[in-house]
Amino acid sequence: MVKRPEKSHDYYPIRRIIIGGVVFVLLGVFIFGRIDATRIENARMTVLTKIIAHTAWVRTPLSYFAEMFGNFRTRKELYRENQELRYELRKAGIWREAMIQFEKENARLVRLSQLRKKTELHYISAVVLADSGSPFRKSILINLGRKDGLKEGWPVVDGIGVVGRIVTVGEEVSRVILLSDPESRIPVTVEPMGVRGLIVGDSSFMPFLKFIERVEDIRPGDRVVTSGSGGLFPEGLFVGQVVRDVQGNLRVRLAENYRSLDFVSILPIQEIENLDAPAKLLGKTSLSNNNE
Amino acid sequence: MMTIKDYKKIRDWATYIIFCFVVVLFQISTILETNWGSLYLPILLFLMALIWILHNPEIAHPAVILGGTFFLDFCLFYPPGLWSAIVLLACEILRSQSRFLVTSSFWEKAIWIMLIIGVAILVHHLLRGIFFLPRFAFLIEIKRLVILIILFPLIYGMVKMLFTPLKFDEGYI
Repeated sequence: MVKRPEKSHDYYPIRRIIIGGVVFVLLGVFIFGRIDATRIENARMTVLTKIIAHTAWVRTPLSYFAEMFGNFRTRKELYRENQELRYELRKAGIWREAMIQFEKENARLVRLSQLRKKTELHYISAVVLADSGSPFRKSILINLGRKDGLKEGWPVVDGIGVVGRIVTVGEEVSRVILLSDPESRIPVTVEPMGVRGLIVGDSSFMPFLKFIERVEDIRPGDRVVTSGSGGLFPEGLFVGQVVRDVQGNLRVRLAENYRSLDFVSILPIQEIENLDAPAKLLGKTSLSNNNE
Repeated sequence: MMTIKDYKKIRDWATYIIFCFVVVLFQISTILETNWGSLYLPILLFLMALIWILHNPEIAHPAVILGGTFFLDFCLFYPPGLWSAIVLLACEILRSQSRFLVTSSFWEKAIWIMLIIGVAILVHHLLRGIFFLPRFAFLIEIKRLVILIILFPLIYGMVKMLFTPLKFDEGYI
């Protein structure tokens, strides 16, 4: 026969008080995290650095296991993907021919105009270590940190386009916020009409294109590149293509396939000097010359 | 000197902590293939904790459950503290009822647990909204609950298997 415990498992009033206190402290931590996010973020980076450093042996089989689940596709999905790829391939063939023509023409024009191109951007390569693991945050951890000279705000790109930017720099690892993160906002230009707007993340692989100057000048398929406004990203980095969702909102299909992100490149950006003394702009010599 | 009960206690605590640790590792190891994982894994651990409390309230210590949940909160970029506080409160509410539920049927237990999880999800959803934090669409929250109901017998069996009470534990069949 089933026997009921004599008392409710040591459920004394003192225990209720302790539990109430702990809940209070936890809510305090939550509020503190909302006020001073940087401190929490730094503590998190320290803990994650330790975990990542000591668990490589167990994370590798786990990632294979997860990949197995992630790569699972139904027959219907495979068929649809196949059809899409065939269509893309046909389009790519046409574009390839057009590109060859454009390249020839461009080379001829560059030669005629004696145009000097901007110096190439330098970059640092990094390995993607881990994902944020949260449904609300879209970010990755990379294997470079303060020790390697990384700084917050530097843009991160891959072979094709922009991935995101560095938000937290730890001693040995850094966190990169992706363009799809709900907190990510980057100024862009939609080509060929040069319309300016903002890419606003929403946790999906196709973030919104908002605050557009002239919506009527944008068509699905247009290229989206960074505008360089605000100095966060250099100008002209490829981001993706404009698409229109079922609700009619403009979104950007990102060039980067985040699912296969193994390596990334970081673009070190020169910090913009604060103009505290405008006279500095003229320089000592020019001022003294004028006085004379 | 340590008794068998102490060993069992440590074993069960370690099992729960290891589960939390594996979830964190699984989530951070899977580069952006985490949609289903981040949706269901933390809540499955919560379900596991609740079943564990009903199964063996003496051993399912709140500090262990809190430790595991806070570790998850902290590492997986949730706002630390909020989900842990909700989980702790929910566990303690269920614990206060465990005396009556220990002899109840499987379905009664399932209804109680699902009710508690449903309320916890709702409170979490509302609080995230109040603090202007990103949150799932309400339909996704319902989907999470439905998936939990479907998986309940499986998790229940798993917890029974993993956290087996000793035969001579007082008050148990």
